[in-house]
This record gives sequence, C-alpha cells and structure tokens, in this order.
Amino acid sequence: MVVRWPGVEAEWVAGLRRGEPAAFDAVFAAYRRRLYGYLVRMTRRRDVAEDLLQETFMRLAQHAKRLADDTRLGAWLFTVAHRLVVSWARARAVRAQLAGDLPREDPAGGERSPLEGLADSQTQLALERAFGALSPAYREVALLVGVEGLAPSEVAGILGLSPEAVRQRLSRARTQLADALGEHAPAGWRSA
Amino acid sequence: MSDEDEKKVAEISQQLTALDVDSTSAQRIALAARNDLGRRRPRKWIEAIAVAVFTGGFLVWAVIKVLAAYR
Repeated sequence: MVVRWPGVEAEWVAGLRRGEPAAFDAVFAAYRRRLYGYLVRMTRRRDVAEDLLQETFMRLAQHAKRLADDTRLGAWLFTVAHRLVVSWARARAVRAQLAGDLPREDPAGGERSPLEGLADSQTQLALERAFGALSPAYREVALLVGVEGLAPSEVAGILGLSPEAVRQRLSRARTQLADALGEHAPAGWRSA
Repeated sequence: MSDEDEKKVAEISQQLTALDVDSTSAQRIALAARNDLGRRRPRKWIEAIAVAVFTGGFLVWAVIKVLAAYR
C-alpha cells in the first residue's frame, strides 16, 4: 500500500496527536505488513521481527502527541524500526562474543531460512537467498528503495547517510544481487 | 545510473514473497501498542534519582548507626 502525502496521512497524524485509537488502527493496518517484511528480512527471524514490530508501534503510540504536523509516518516508522534493528544486531553481536565459539544462530549461515520456506518458485527461492546473502547495509537499502519504494533521499534520512552513499549502496546491492541470482536474474538486469 | 539501479532493484524486489504477521499476533501487537497511546515511558532520569535517593538514604542511615555505636 502506497500512502500519499499529505492526504490521508496528515489526517492520521492529526488523529494520533489527539490520541484517537481509530487513527492508530489505520496506521497499524497501513504499515504493519511493510514494517514486518522489512524486519523479517533484516533480522532473518520471525520471532524477533514480531517483537521489534510491537516495539516500533509502541514507540509510535508513546510519541503520538509529540508528532509534528508534517510528520511523514512512513519515514518515522522506518527510522524507529531501523534503530531497533541496529540495537538488536549490536546486542546479538555482544551475546555471540560472550558465547565464544558457540555455533551462530544466523539461519543465513547455510541452513534454509524461514523466508526460503515460503518461496513459491525456484526464482523466488533464489531471490530470497540472494537478498539474504547481501550484507545487512546493502540489504537494508535494497529493501527500503526496492520493496518500500522510498526515494534515496528519504532512505538517507532514515539511515543517517548522505543520498550519494545510499545510491552507492544501492548500486553495489544490485551488482551483488545479479551475481547471486546468476541464471535467475531477469534478462538485461545486470548492470553494465 | 542511480535511477537505473533504483528501477532494477524495485523491479526484482516485487517478486519477493509477501510477508505478514499472523492475525492473532497482529491483534496482540496492535492492542499492546494502542494501550500505550499518549502514554509516556517513565524517563530514565527518574529511575536514576530514585536509586540515588534510596542509596543516599541508606548510607546516611548506616553512618548514623556507626556513629551511634561509637558514642
């Protein structure tokens, strides 16, 4: 679902500022799938994605009355989700360090991830694997631009990067995706 | 080139599996978050002040007791 600004989103922001549950429900319905997809593909774990999804919307609820009139909810929510993913990844890295040589939990490390189990075709399976194989920094940019349809300038604001850095990551993500997809890459997809 | 990258990544991303949280979990998450609507989390400095007051009070009490024992 693409939400047009200002239109309905401005009404939702106004409703949230007034503490209206209906406005919150509308935002939840509009963004829950998008955020969940982003969170699952970034964490590679559904249970973690659900926790972070809940935390993202709890933060929206807690900040509702302090939202600015011109808040872009999509960018706001993805900024919070991005920060939660970063915190989760840091905590996970610390846990892994403390655990020493214990095996990694990352399903991308050779095992089939839950996402791969959902793929309907060989192409979709190859695509899930290709996205999973991207480094998190490139995967994040590819998801926000490719799946969410956000402009590089918006993604730059969410990730705290320059638009040029976002474009560079996007270009590298495309190259890596093309390499990983191999024969499954659509004709003419590989960059020159 | 960047527009081309944007277009191509978007094109292939549309083929990714559609994901959604199951409806039971979605309801639970929505309910938990909606209950927080307009509520603020207690600020961290309130916790810090509470701990400082408690610890400081305990130290004063301990010092008074020690002094009383020496009198």
